[in-house]
Amino acid sequence: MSGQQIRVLLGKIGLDGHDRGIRMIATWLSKAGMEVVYVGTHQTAESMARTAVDEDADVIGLSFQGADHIPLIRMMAEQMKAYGLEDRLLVVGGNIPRRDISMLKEMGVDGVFPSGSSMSRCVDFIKKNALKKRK
Amino acid sequence: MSKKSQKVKSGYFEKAERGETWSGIPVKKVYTPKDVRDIEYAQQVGDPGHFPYTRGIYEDMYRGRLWSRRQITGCSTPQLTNERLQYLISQGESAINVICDQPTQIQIDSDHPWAEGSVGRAGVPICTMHDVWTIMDGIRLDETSTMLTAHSPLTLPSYLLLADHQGVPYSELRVSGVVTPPTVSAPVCLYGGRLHADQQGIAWSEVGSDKDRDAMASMQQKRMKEWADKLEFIIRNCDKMYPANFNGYIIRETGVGAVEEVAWEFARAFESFEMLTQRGLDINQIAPKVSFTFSAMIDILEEAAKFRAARRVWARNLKEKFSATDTPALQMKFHVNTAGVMMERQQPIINIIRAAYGALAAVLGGTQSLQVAGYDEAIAIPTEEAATIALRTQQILAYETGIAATADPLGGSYYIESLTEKLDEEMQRSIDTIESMGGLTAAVINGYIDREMEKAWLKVQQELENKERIIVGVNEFTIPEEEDVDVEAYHHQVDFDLVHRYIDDLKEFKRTRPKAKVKKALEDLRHAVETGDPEILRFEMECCKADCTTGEVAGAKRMGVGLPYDIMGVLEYPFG
Repeated sequence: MSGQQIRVLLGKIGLDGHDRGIRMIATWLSKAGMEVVYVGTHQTAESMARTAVDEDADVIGLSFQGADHIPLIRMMAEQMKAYGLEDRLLVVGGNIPRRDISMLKEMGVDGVFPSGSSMSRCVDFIKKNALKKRK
Repeated sequence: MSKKSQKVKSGYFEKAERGETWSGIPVKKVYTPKDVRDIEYAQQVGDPGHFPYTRGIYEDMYRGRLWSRRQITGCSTPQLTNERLQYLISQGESAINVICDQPTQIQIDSDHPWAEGSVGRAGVPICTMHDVWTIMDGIRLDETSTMLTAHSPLTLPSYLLLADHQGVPYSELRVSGVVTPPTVSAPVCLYGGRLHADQQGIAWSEVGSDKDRDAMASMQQKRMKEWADKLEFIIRNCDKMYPANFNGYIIRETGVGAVEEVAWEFARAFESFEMLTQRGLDINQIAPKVSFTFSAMIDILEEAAKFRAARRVWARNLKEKFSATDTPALQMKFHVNTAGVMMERQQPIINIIRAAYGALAAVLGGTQSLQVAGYDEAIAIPTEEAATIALRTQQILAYETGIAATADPLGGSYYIESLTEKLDEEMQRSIDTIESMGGLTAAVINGYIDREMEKAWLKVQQELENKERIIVGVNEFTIPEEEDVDVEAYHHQVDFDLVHRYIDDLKEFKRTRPKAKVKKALEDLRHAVETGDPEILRFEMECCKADCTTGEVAGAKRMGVGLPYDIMGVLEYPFG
């Protein structure tokens, strides 16, 4: 379905308030022509999943700087299953140690963009994969 | 010619392309006496220890006393944190600095539903007085300069009770940061900051709305009164304490430059001073009780000049704006954290070098206290190895480099004096801009601060994408991810069963303590806050003794100013 606008839902779950990275990627994705909804910090996995359904998001993007990514992404994966969102692209950014990446992928994360990643690389990844995954 | 030798040839002829500081101030190719012609040494620079303190607040600087080597420490439990502190002290750390985990920072307990997954991850949980005592176990309060950011409302009362327990008079306590100023700080406009503001009773959600302005004003007045009362208590009883720490570091970490880091936090301090002096407090008594935390980024000379300029701006404004006359009021004292934001995840070992440059800048700039970030800062809180290297970085500076031998070794450099002057002008302009809007709170509410932050970080990121700004290992000189060093993160070393046991113990503690005592202490505290009692601190100490927790004390105080008990809106007041 080329030409269709990609809808991205961005937010931070848990208590961590560092939101420069996610606000930055929001700007870059918008500039790339995607429709971006940034719901802010202090979301829950459940509220993110619910919003993803309401907004009909193709992509869910989360960002972590609090070393709490493993327990919180596990919760997110459970909620995505509960809300029938397994065909949506799940993308994660932030302070993610390398040895955690394979574990996150096993949990269902499609793309990991750790701190320092180029914005354009992340934009390209979402462009290429967002609609492909969606049934 | 092969591709390789072409690269060598072009490398040989390579020029330093960047003609501006890391914050974006234009830099000339050379500085000469002409650039400092208009700078009057006696008035604008002055000898170290003399107004306007450009060259340092003491005449002999580090020959009189070295800076405090103070590594930020916050491991997964109070017990582990104490072990790390004891270890660092045994390795030559001269002062301590404790940081709390996310739940404690917004003042909820570790068993709160929202704390799940975050307990002990980015610092130490403090839920009860016993946690503070465990963290400080075996550490004499009169011998150890301690930085305890008042994340939990139990911090200061627990610390005072520990002093009683150790038999240390309050006049001998060396602690800073224990009373958070109840004024809006610049990063409050970030979403994460709003929760902190709300927790402080600033009620961000209501700021700027027409809704219930009277309630807002009364809330703010109560918090300001509490702060003033605590400061007065400390001024009277705790001569060696620096209760109020204003944090410019977190401003810098949002991505703005050296000017904004200093100017925005000074503007906040000035706004606080206005409120305190209106309440009848003497500026010559308040200002000496204030210290700052600043960042040291990678541009060594800009950072050193920033600290010099900051001291001058402070001294001049305190004298002219507030008519301060006493020397300690005019001397701006500060702690430096080498910037966390410059620590990269790629090729993490080279962060050791970045942190060393930041540390060098801080010492060249005359800091009183220093924390050097661990090389694994971009991944997790430091492992013992990373913390040790960071401490050793400070020790090499202090004992090997010779840098501590003379005050302000950069003084008189054409570039440094010229850049100091430029930064001074820009900082003053920024302070004046904010004050013309009605002060920092107003500048946050009208969106100015948020716009400036966003503008700054988008510019930096665009420059990184275009390679107009180079970060080694990140956008140039990169290596494939799979070839990179995979450092072990702290949270892989910690047995998280310990954290679960900590949470279980807390639940058990809550279940078995005498509830009537807890309830009475909380009710008394809530009433004290409601009625503006001048001795809130005494009621907080009673709460500690009655085994109240961080979340409960914060909640009772929230209710006292008219906010709901639970900041996250899920818990009911348990003793209603």
